[in-house]
Amino acid sequence: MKRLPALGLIFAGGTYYLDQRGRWLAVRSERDIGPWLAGLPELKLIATVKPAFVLGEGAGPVTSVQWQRLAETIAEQYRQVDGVIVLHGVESFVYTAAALSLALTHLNKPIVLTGSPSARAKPRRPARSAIKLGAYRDVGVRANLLNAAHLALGDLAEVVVTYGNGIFRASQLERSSDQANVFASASDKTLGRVDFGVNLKAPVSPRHQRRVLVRPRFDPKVHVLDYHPGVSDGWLEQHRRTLAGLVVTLDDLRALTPAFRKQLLQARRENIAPVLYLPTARVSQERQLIIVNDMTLEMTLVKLMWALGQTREYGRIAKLMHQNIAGEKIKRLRQ
Amino acid sequence: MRVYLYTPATNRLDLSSFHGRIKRLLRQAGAAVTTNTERTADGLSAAELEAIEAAGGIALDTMDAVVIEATESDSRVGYLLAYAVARQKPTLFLYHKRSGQPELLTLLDKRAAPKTLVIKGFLSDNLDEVLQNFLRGFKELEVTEQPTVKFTLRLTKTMEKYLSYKTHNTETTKADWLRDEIDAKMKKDEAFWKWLKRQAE
Repeated sequence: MKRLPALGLIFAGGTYYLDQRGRWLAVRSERDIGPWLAGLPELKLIATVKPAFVLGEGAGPVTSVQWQRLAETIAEQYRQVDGVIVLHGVESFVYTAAALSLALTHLNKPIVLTGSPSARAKPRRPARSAIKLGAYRDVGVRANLLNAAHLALGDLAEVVVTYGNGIFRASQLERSSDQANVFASASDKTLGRVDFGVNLKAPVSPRHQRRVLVRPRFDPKVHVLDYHPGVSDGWLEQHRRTLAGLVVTLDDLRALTPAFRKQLLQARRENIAPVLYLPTARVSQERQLIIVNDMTLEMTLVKLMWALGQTREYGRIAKLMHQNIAGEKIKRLRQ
Repeated sequence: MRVYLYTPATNRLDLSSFHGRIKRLLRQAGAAVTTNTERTADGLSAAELEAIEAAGGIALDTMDAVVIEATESDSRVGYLLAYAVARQKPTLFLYHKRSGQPELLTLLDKRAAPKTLVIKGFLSDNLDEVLQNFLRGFKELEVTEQPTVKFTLRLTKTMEKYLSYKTHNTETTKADWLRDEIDAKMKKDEAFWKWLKRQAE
């Protein structure tokens, strides 16, 4: 029999599903993986699975420490498998998607993120018999995992997300504002849809032979400040000791007071990297500070953390922030 | 009733011909068939597909059953089979007997396979029967069969007069009248349909 493809399966939450007996299964520790996989016999029809545990269900939010571990774990498995799936909880999913798309580039096969709905979505009491579970069969990671497996064996070499009926570029992911879908693409263009299977409809980087570049370091000491009238001009002075970077969100550059702007320039000289996030700005006259208006806020935050993990020099940070590393730059951000 | 029919691309003329027959038989039975090979008048329209997607749904979930002709399996066949197992969607997995069982089936854990998954080898002369047996489990469908079983029935003289009386000046023959009566009783007999479905599995 011809070899079944191999898929890496990385556990970082998002693992809930209802088994045939009406029990909720999830992976909270490494020893849960075996029984969890045993309840998903359909996976064996598609691929052999090489599991790796990073974070258990309910272990808390995923931070830059886990991003680094995830990237390193993926890198360890990458050569031995035909594609990688990362299971992740809905909370902080968008940040992890951004982080992995920056930490792992020059990919030669896909990395697909997916997961189960939030733990709160499951019913308080499991139904007593399998017959009554009809309504609950749709809850859980099963369908998403199948779609992720199909996608992870496809002809693409990017970090992507599949959730529900959507397929998205990880670097453009955001939470959806409508109730029907959990995630959306900030560019308003998805990579494809799940209808009668996984269907890619937009151009993607295909598989090829290049060597993956792993840059997993992030500096977590970055804060997001929503600048508005009332923000003290002395804010930075009060917080500078805890900061390596700062993302200041505002609608108009002219709203920044001269005193606050002076604080930002001073921070630059003290190795704190300020970035101004102006999603609605079309033209920027700013020369001394980094302006971002073509990425999501989540990506801007994560990218600054990542850039600070590579360098402390503001000029190089600016270059990295302006460079389109993983398709995160969007010509027209969806408002 | 909505059926998704998946037929992998093939160079074999015999398989292509079977694909056409399967499509016809499903339609004759009254199913609205969506296929992977063509846009069809009875399948999901582009507008319906858009509406399902906008609501966050998956088109395959809206199908009442899936039929897969898997003699020459591709990656989509594996996906659909896995889907049938995971979602317990009524699925008929067909393969041409002369080509042997698809390798994919050796990976299927028969104990975990749901009862809704029916795996059948077929030949040219029994394809209709295989499909009809599968479709009988769906009450919405009229499975049109041709009467081919010869049955000798002795009646009393009064019964024969009754048959003449019921069919006089009608276009219905006595044999047709009897078949219609049996058909009417059969349709209402729930226990029979459940039994028949078990026989087909």
